[in-house]
Amino acid sequence: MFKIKYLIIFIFLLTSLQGKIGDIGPSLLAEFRLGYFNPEAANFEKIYGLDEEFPTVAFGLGYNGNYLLVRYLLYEEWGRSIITGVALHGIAKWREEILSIGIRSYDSAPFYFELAYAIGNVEENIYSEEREYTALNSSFSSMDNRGAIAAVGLNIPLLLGFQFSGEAEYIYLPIAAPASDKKINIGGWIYSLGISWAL
Amino acid sequence: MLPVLMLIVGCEDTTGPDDGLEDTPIAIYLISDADTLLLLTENTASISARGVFTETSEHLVTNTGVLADTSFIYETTDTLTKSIKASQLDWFSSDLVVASVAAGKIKAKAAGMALIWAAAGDVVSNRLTVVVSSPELPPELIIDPPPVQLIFQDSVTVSGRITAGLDATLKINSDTTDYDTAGRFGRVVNLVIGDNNFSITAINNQNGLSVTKSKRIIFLPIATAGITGLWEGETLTRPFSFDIYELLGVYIIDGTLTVDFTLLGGSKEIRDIVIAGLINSDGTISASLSKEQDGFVITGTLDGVFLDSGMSEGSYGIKLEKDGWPTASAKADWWATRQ
Repeated sequence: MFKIKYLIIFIFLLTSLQGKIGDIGPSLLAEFRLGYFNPEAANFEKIYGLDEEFPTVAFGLGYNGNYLLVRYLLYEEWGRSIITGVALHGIAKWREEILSIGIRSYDSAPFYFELAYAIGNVEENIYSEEREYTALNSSFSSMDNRGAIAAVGLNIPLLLGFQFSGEAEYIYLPIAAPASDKKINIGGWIYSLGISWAL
Repeated sequence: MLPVLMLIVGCEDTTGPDDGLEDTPIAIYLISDADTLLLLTENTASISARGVFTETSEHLVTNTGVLADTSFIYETTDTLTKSIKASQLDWFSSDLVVASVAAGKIKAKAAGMALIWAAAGDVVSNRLTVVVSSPELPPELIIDPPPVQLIFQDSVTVSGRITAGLDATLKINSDTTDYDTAGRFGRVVNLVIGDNNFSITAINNQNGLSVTKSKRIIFLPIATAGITGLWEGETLTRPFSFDIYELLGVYIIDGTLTVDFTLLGGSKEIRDIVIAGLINSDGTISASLSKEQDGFVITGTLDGVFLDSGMSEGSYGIKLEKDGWPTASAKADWWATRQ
């Protein structure tokens, strides 16, 4: 009985506080997304594959359906680096995180559009399956890289202020390639599903 | 700058001296039956030289990620050893007052010691020591090592060298011993069980001046020598151990060894390399080394001598091979004491 009482109070509070994205006036937005990442960097699929999730969390402050949105994306993956000239398997570890700040507009509901400024870091470590062979160990990292994010999504309202959305997002985050003047885009396409909650 | 690992695989050319130095060798060896030549003033000695010539190929190993990458080059070298005409080399003496050298011919000039070596460009040979005596001085005398030795048979050869060309009398204990024109001597001596001490004396017949050196040989029947049991020692700062035991009248050495190889910039430890072999009647140890680990095949040989029933020493050579991998090798000395 005691637990049921607190559950009822929680649902009442949620019902009172819920909002809907696009409502008139100010609102807050919290969002969690899980996406499929299709990176542009050459050899990425060969080394890391393309079957891992790319989680994102976002928080926004909005007015009349337009939000100032901050996103945080973290992508970590293990893969197999390519070793030639000796019979040995390679191991690779990739870590990429991006913080973006931008504008998301629900004026064309149920669709939304987003444009953001992105700052990102990337780090890759490679070594052989026997790490004592230090000649085959290498690391690369690049911090504080600047780029942009563009996204389009379809928003479906649910109950109690929750919304469900599907999104296609493109990240452009160029970094200076090692030992070269060329730029490599460590972003790419993310196709994700998300749950948002609006207040 | 990329690190380089050298591998040398050698083969011997037995076709005879080469007519000219067409290529630069990677190593030059002066051929002598000893590291120290004993000469009398005004005498000469001829030294020949052999060179190691190579054909080197480079092999690239790479590791590539999306952004990170690294590479490593190791060299494999096929070698050919052949004679070098002495006149094709530059010859040097550390003390021209004691001995001079030209085209491989050493001339002893005055009593003293000098180092002799040869070079072809930047490649320098090993150094030979030349000890020059004059007829007015005691002979120079060198006894072949070790100075103390344990053996399991009742006779052994005591050998060494005296100054070549000197009119001298050589005695092992009270027995006069012959020596050849190069000053080398060797005499089979009978042993009694236990300690056998030999005084080797070389006497200059012109002035009676002499020099005496000693050698101690311990003869024990192998069954009572007390060498069976656990031996523990060290090689390249690594501990190792072996057992010696008797089986059907044969004495067997059985142990293990751990060696650190350097491969692809890192250390590859191979533990428990098997030592297996026999103890010979002349007190020497002859054993093979073997192991397979992580696809690597490790082979080698280990030899040694007993200094007494509680101490032994020796050396080993070992090689690490695996298909598709650079090969590594190691050589080292070892010592051990019976526990």
